[in-house]
Parts: sequence; structure tokens; C-alpha cells
Amino acid sequence: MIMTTEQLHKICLISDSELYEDAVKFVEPHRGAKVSKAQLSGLQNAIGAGNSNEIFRYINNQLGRNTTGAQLKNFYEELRDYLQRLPGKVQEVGLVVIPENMTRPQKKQVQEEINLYAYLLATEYIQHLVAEYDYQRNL
Amino acid sequence: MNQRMKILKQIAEVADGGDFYAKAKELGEIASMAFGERHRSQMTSLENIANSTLKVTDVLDFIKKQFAKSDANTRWRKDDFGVELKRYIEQSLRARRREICIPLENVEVESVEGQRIYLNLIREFVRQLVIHYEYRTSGGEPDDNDNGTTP
Repeated sequence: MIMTTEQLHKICLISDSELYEDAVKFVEPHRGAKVSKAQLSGLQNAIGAGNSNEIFRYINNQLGRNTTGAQLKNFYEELRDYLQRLPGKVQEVGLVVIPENMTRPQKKQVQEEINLYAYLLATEYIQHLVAEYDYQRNL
Repeated sequence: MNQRMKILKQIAEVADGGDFYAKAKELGEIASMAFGERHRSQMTSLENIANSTLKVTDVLDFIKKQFAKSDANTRWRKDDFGVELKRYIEQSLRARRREICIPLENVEVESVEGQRIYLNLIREFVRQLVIHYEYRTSGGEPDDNDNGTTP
């Protein structure tokens, strides 16, 4: 699959507007969660995997730990909810065009494209979130 | 004059007017104290990111991360250098972008062209800031008669 210039510009525009604003808004009420530097690095590393699975695996691992307090759990749960909504965003902004009357292989291909673009949006969002969290914590 | 030329002219006018030059000079002065010769790479990195990225937020995220890595009142925290630079980009340059876009036909503020205008304003601002930093770091004297206005 080759990304078009139009799709690239669209991702950059969404990243600079909605995703950035959402990440900044997300951090303020979660400052009390005291996400550690190591956890922020863990999130950052998870986006390097090339697909969303690793990000969700990391979040679920953190949620499953006994040592994770209520505020931190809330941070990860809300983050997971946000990321789960990104495939919907991909369709909403027209990053992937969905043809009518698709065959099964076409459906599979479209779903793969949606997942890929949702992953790209997730990497943008997490980068903004990590930078903002680190910044606010050090203000 | 075609649209592109109009935009470039507008950006040049903004960069030559208002508080643009004075602010770049003020922050360049702080940068020379904060980074000196030893941390020159910080300024080079800032300039490289501003010049190569397609997103304004890459510049903002870079500033935030460098700020977080700095110790109290050193480097990006020296005299609130990072906070001030971020604020100027997010508020003043954002407002200048709007002023440029609104009179233009078919250019919405929140569009790819609007984003390009915003990035060009940031590049010009960072370029001026780094020039002041280089000048002061290499031993250039401050202008005693400086009244903070455009030359």
C-alpha cells in the first residue's frame, strides 16, 4: 500500500490540530496519575513496533499489574479508549475510502488500511501526549 | 501577483514588523547565555527540525522534551527560554498565521496551506533567533541603543 501525498498532508493536519489538542487536554486531569519516566518511555517504545497491537499490549500489561494505582489505571483506560476510537476517525476524515459492495478480499484489504492509518494516528497522538506529560511534570 | 508570491510577501512583512525581530533577539540573547558554545547542537537541532518537518507540533514537542530534560534554570529552562519560545509560537505566530490567511482567497486557517504558512513563520523566527544566538555567542556586542523595535 502506498500513501498518497494527500493522505500524508491529511495526517499532518490532523496531528497538528485535533490530536495535539486532545493530547494536551488529556494530560491535565491525569497529572495526579504520576506516570513515571520509564512508563512514558515504554509507551514511546511501543509505537515503534509498526502496528497498534504492541501499543495495546503495553497498555493492557500496565493495567494488569497489581502495583498500578487507581489514578494510573484510569490514565491507561482512558488512553486505551481514545486509541480504540481512532479507526473510526480514519473513516470519518476520509483517510480510507470504503467502496460499496466489497468482496471478502477487498473488505480485508480495506480493514488492513484502516488499521494502518489508525496506527499512524496513534503514533502521532502518543508522541504529543508523552511530550506534554513530560513538559507539564517539569513545569 | 500570484497567490504564492502574495503569501511569501506577507510572511516577509510579518518577519520584518511588530515584535517579531525584537522577540527573536530577546530569545537569542537568552539562548546565548543558556547554551553558550558548549551546547550549540541544541540550537542546530531546533533549526533542523523547524526546517525539515511538515508539522508545527514536531517543533513544539521538541521544545517540550528538551525543556523536560533540562535542570532548573539551565539550558531550556534558563529564564524560561523554552516556555517563552513555545508560548510565542503557539500564540503570536498562530495569530500572525490567521492574519495572513484571512484576506487570502481560498486559504482556510486550518488547511494544508495555512499549516505551511505557520511553519514558514516558525522557520523565519527560529532562523532569526539562531542568528542572534550565533552573534552573541561569538562575542558580538549587544546593541546599547536597542529600543526593542524593528531595525
